Amino acid sequence: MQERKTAFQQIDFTLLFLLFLLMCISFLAVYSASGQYFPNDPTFFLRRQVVWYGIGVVLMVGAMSIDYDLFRNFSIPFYGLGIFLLLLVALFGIEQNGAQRWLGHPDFLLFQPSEFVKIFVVLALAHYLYHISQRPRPKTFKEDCKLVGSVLVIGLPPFVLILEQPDLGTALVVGAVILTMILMAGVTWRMIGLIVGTITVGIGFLVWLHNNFFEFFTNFINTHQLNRIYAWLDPYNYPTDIGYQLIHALQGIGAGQLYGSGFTEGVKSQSGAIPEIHTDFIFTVIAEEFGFFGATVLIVIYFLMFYRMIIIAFTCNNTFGTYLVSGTVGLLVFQVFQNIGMAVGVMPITGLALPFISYGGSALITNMIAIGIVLNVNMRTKHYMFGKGE
Amino acid sequence: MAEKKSHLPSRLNVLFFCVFLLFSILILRLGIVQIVQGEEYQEQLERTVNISAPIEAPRGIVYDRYGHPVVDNELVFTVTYTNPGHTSIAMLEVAESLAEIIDLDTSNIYEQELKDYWLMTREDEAEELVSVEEIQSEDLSNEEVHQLQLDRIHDEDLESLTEEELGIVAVWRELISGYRNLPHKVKRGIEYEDAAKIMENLDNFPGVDIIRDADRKYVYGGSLQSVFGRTGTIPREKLDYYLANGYDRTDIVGTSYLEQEYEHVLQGRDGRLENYMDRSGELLNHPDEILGRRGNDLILSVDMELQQRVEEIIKDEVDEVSNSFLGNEDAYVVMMEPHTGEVLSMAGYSSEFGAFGSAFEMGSVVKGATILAGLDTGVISPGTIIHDRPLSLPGAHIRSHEIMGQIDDLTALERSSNIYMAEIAMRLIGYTPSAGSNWGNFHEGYDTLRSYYEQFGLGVSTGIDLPNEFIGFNGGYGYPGNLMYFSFGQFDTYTPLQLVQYVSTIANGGYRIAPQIVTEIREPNNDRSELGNIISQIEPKVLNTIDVDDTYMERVQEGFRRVMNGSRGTARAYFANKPYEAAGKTGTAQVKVDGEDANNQTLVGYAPYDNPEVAFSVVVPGISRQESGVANRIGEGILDAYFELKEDGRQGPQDVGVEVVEPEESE
Repeated sequence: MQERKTAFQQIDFTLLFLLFLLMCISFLAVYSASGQYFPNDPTFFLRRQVVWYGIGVVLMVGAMSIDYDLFRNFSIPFYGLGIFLLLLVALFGIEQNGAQRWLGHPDFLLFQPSEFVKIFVVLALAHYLYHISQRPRPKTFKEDCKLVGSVLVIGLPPFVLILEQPDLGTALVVGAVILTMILMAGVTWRMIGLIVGTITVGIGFLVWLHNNFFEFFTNFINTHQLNRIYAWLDPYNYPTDIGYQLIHALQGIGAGQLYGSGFTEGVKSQSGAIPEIHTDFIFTVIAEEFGFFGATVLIVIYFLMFYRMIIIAFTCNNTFGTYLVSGTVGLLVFQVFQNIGMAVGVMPITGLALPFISYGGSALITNMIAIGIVLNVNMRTKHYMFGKGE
Repeated sequence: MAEKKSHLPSRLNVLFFCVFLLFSILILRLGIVQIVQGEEYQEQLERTVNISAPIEAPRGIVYDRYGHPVVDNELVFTVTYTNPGHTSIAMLEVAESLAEIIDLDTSNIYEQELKDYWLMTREDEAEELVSVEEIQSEDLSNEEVHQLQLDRIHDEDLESLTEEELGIVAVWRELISGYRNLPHKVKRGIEYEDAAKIMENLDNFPGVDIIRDADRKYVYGGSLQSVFGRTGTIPREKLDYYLANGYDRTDIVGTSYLEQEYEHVLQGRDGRLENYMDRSGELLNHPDEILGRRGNDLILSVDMELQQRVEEIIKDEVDEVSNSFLGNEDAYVVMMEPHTGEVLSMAGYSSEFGAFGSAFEMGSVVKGATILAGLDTGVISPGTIIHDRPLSLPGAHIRSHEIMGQIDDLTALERSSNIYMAEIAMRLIGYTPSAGSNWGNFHEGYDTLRSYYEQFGLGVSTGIDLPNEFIGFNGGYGYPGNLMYFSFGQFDTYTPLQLVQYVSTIANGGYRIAPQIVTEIREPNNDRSELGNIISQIEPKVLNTIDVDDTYMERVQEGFRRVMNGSRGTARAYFANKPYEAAGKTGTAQVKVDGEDANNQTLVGYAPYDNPEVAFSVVVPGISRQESGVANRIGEGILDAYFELKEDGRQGPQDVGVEVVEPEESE
């Protein structure tokens, strides 16, 4: 005997409610952060953000409407399309602020293929791991190496293409997805330990090179990126724009203290001293104006969101769905951690938006599609009252 | 199946644990920043706000109606002094070295400042002023001694100060007048070489700095200078007002005319220069510049190309007869679109200021309004015949410039009859020459005529968007006989701007439109090749409409047409054979200049008659009675210029070699 709910009844309304809360916070924060740019028209960015959310909801519903099992059919063409677009960007892309990330006409339509490629990578890796999981796999080190190698073959081309734009932030997001997928792939703990070790040793090696063979070191890391690291480690004595951005952000966040200075009352946030405060540094506004209390509420909302998503991955009895959801978790968690982390100084500064909060179209839409995929998986998971009869 | 995915739950647990760990790090770090170090950051924030200095944003640019910049900004070097708490003696040393390089105006130094300087530099002589015995016997405090010394300095002592010393005082008084820790502008716009000299030796000038500053540049030299107005430091009496509106004490604001009227538009949003401190409170030596935003731009109604032509015509005509002026040579022109009030040109021989800031007896040009008053009150009707002959009334012996006999209202305008006007004035108060000195209630005559004149803008504010407009001199009720003179424009005085509003009201059929200098406000555009987005457009403003029978207004218009085209029109010699058909009215007011007889020559008009697109007034004040036609020649010249520019295509205003005018202190 079994009872099935309709797909609509299975929509995870908790997740949707958390998303709704984030949207409300986004509107407040974008309004407060951007008002200073257009004193004549303080709702300029807010109105646009509302429109972006509208587009995002439509695409999210779109991503929910097709049974995700069918996504497997698209994963390879999408992946190919993604690589093709990234190559187009590398060859014909439009350069802004020293990075070649955009396609389109400068006055007309600009979009960043790298945003959508993140989703395509999740799809491709989920598909591949699902494919592997269909057959029994011997748990040998050699097999693990083959598996990790295959994941890297899929994941590294977009990673490298995005890194070269250069867009370190988005590249690291792709990296986080790859690592999450390797964790979920079922390789042995020894293998995971090896990978973590390799990364640690690699970073240690770079530091050693930097300290002892600086000339040689600059072949790997350019000075622009190096400055970011310096500014992160010691913003007060490293007077570059980035160092000051961090100092301002820290001053603003710190001055917020426990309860914050109040909506639109943030001294630092409203001073115009922090570049990109309505996009990458929007967390500063929330933390200064709503204090530790408000910032913690935001972080808890994110945490509950990821908790819900991992529960969905748990209950999903289709391996492909589990991989899709966990890839999405990796995708979003890294963005949240990196963005808030850079504002409070635990991570170096990279240009990443705070998911669902920062002003901006491409990133918001991508993240809404990602949520749509997760909701899709949950809608179509078969929940049986008495377990599954064989 | 179960075996295949057996690893997934444990891996999901690990994933969840990682998420938990990362979020814990964030909250922990946030707690450290906001709760543990929060107060410290709060203090830092307050301290940084205290040591920020404004960077002035450039003012908006003023363009003419065809987009030629007329008031622009140019980069200049400015010497600033930031007083970190120096004593006035220490500042004197700075002033001494600075005065070797920069010169400041020494003409308005106060005596008190000279005395202070004298005491500081001549200690021995200062001590002699108050003897030691006197100090001991009177038990004087230091302040009292100082005050006594000041009182006892002789004028001869101050006169002994050399020119160089005066220069030092001029610099020193600037240094001490700054606010503490705020850069004070000592001198704007110093020469590049001087700036370089100071920059090379900054160590010798503690507290002194050279900043790049924007100063006003008047692209067409002195043209329209008194319309644009001046900028300068905030006048003391308005300091509270500006501070309350978010200005800084050191800001440069508009202090007169357009710069003042549109201060809120032209003022940019200041940037800030902020100094940051490290944890120990040390200043970092890389202050942060937050750039300001340039003020909004103004688009003027003025056509600079026409303006230049008009100025040239005035100059040529006035120079031609320069010996005929009893006072200073002068002449004024205002040209305006009669339907919109947009001022196309406003010019004067010495300055255009008089066009809205000086008033004159205008003579017969006002007769259009008198005729209309007569028609509307019913004391005459279209075609009423009046006998033009010399009239001797108690206190008024009047005649027209020629005896015209039986004439109607149209001819009265065409040939400019004074008697016709006087007859209207008499009828308004029910007077006939046979009544002798029994004038009755003649006050009513003044009131009635003024009420009509004012509907045309004569004797009232025109509503132009400039401060300090003069509305003319109202002579009150005067003697009964003066009423006759009042009816043909020889009693109250009016400005050239009021005249152009008056003739525009006739040209457009009865709408009194406020003249406007500014037509649009636009956002600043960094790309100078095109204008920024429109913020607001200033709509034509109708101040009142003259509610009379259409046929009456047409009657006045026809009379005006005959003045310039009729067989006996007073201005036909200048306008009858033009490709355009003009209408208007001449005027000659008999006045006294320094007790001698003189005329004010005037002319108002508009063209084309059927569809007026330009109205104008010309005033040539205080010229010899022997000289005639100067106003008419100027009127002909400017109207020709207007239609030439319209027909021939435009080349844009002539470059005048970018003469940079040194801003003077304005009142």
